[in-house]
Amino acid sequence: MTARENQPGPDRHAWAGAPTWLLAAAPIVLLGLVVWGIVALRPVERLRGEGFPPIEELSIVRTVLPQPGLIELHVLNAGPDPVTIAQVMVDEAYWSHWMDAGRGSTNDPALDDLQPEKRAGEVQRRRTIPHLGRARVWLDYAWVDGEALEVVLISRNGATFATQIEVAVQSPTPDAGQFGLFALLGILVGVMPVSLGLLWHPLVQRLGAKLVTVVLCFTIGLLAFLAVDALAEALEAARELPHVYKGLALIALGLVGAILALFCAERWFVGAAGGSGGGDGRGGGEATPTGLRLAYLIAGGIGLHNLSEGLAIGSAFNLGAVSLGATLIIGFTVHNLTEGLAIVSPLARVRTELVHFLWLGLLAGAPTVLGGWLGAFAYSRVWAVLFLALGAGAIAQVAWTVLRQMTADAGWRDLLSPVGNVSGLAGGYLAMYATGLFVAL
Amino acid sequence: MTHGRLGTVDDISPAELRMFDPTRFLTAWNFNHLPQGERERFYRESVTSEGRRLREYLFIARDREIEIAPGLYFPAWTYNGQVPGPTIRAAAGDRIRIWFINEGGHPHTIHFHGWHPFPMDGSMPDQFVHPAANLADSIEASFGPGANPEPWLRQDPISLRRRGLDIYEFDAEPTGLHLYHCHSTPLKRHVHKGLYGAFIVDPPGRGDPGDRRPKIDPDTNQPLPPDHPVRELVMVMNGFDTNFDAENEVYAANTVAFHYLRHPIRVRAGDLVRVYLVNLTEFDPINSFHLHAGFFRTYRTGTAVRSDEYSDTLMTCQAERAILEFRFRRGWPGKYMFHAHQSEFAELGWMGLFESSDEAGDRAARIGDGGTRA
Repeated sequence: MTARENQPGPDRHAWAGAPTWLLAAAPIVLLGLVVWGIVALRPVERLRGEGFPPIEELSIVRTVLPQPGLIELHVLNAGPDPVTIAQVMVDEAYWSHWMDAGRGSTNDPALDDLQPEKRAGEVQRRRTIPHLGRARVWLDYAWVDGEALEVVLISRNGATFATQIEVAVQSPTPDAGQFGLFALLGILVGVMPVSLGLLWHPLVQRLGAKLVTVVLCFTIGLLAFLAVDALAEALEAARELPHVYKGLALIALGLVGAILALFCAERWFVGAAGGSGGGDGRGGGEATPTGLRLAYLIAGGIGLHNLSEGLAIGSAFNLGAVSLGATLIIGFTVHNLTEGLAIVSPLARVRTELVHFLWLGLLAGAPTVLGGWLGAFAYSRVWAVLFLALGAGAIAQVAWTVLRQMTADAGWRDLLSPVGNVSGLAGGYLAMYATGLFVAL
Repeated sequence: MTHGRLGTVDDISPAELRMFDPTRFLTAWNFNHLPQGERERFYRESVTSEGRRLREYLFIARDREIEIAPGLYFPAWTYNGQVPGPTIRAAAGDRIRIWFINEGGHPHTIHFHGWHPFPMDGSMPDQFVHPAANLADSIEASFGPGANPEPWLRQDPISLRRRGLDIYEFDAEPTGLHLYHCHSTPLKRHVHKGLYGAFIVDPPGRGDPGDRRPKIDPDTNQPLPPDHPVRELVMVMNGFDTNFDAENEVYAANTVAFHYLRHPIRVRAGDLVRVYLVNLTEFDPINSFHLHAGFFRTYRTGTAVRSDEYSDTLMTCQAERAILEFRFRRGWPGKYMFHAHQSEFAELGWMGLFESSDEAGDRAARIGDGGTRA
């Protein structure tokens, strides 16, 4: 028996004496060697063979009609191989265009000074979008106001990538007038109805304990609808996303991220209040926010929801998929009115200063304005999916918080057996469902 | 901002134009576009023991990526690297012998429209010629134009075809405008991939083939003097399905979208323009030809010598063909459009221009010289 085998504790390895930094760096250095080997030896290319056709996947992420007679496409190469755009068709007709993939424009007059062979090579280079690269394509095309269009990009190898413009209307441009217009729209469909809903506070204060519970149940039903709706929209938007963005993983990130972030925020809230239950002085062992803090949490969650609602309105307007008529605006207003009730429902037994209502209204309603701006002027499907998922997560978390706060007083059975409470839950859900019928974009 | 316009941007690469130039193709038959030494590898004329003219051709099936619009490439199956394949032109009664090598990736044949005995039909499964890579160089000494076909014809044709070789031999009949194409299966794919071409059978006789058809003023239907200048052009209407969804992304006459729009076909006013028009469009049931600002006489299949059809539009189904004759007026120089009159085909590439000018001896006439070689 050697001395070594007698030693107690974990096995002593040769690298036991190595410095810590080396232990951290060694795998990374080895990884570098492996990467070098892959680049140098190209085992994948051997597998694919020389004549293997490249995998071409272009995604037209945004279509803009900046002015009459002009179309602008934002293109992303979401596939593994570089893609060269050979030509562009509009409604089954080849059309003149120019593009820029970051290597200079293809209508650069300097190109005409080159020898034909060199020119052909240079044009090819400028038309090539690398993996995850972006390009913009412009067409001088007299699109017809209010009609549908199809633009197709055809690659060097003949693969086609189409995008539909459902209703051609000039895209909003981010000038002061348009900003103001979308701000007004956001205020109309977001801030105003939520604030009006807050005016139910005196009513809620006058209600008896049982009816307050019914109103809180109504709030949970309402939040449940918003969470389901946001998740459904996130899933739908994720389907449109290029595969490379992994829409479902993005949704999980937003959903779980929002829930965890709000749990942390809650903890911080409760901690700041000295470990007590919250602002209503009810105090207690259960560390759930109540009263004003809960109202702020609900307002925050609804705000996130309204951000994605604004995003949807703005982008629909941008894509020409909607004509924002009075019916739609009234629909949104009615739909969002009940959100105000949800926010004041925890304030039944709390004396609340007026300024809080102002902040609550802004927190829940103002994101609609921000979302409208983003959707109209800088729409991106990736952000839309993420915002929708964040909204869904936040609202689910808030609903859960309200539930916990209520079950802290009464058990689950007591909460869910009275007909009034169950009707409240169903009523909140159905109220949102019914008013939601008016706002289908 | 420039003014937007219909059509593709840029031009076919110089490298592609060296391989296949649609303008050159218009007047290229029997490999007359090649320098003499090079031409002999692919085409030879001789006289048989019976005193008949023998025309021999070397056709090689090859896979090649062809440029069908600027920057847009199509993985084509070709005869001799080009789509459409080389135009074959003979006088009725001439003996035709096609030495065929398949260097492609799939079994191919050449199936001719016209009279021929069954073994020359190139359509039955045991008539498929199997792929045999790089056979041409090793076998050239004894196989191809000018070689003695006897040792090859004595071999079992099926085993010969298995080795990638076949010889088609028949008399050019009847007089008219015909075509050839691969008849391997699946037929749709072998045709749309590019294995087709024009086969012109002139009326019997010697001399300039362009002078052998009767020359008739298309507008009056009265004879023109025998020495009236004639400008002959071959146009094969075709299409390409680049994303394999059984719909064409590109249409053209002679493969390249909008090529004759960028490079108008120059003609001299008053000359008799004779277009040999063949429809080899796959997937679409019909294709058409429309001429601007003028009317043409239609000689369907080129088998009639008189025509009662006088129009500016002609409709054809696949494999249907016609000889069209028209004249541009003196004193009306300009660019006259021709295109399919299905707007969709026109806007996807099947559109071009004739540039008519009054001056004699300009570039138009010089290009026309290509038509006198046979």
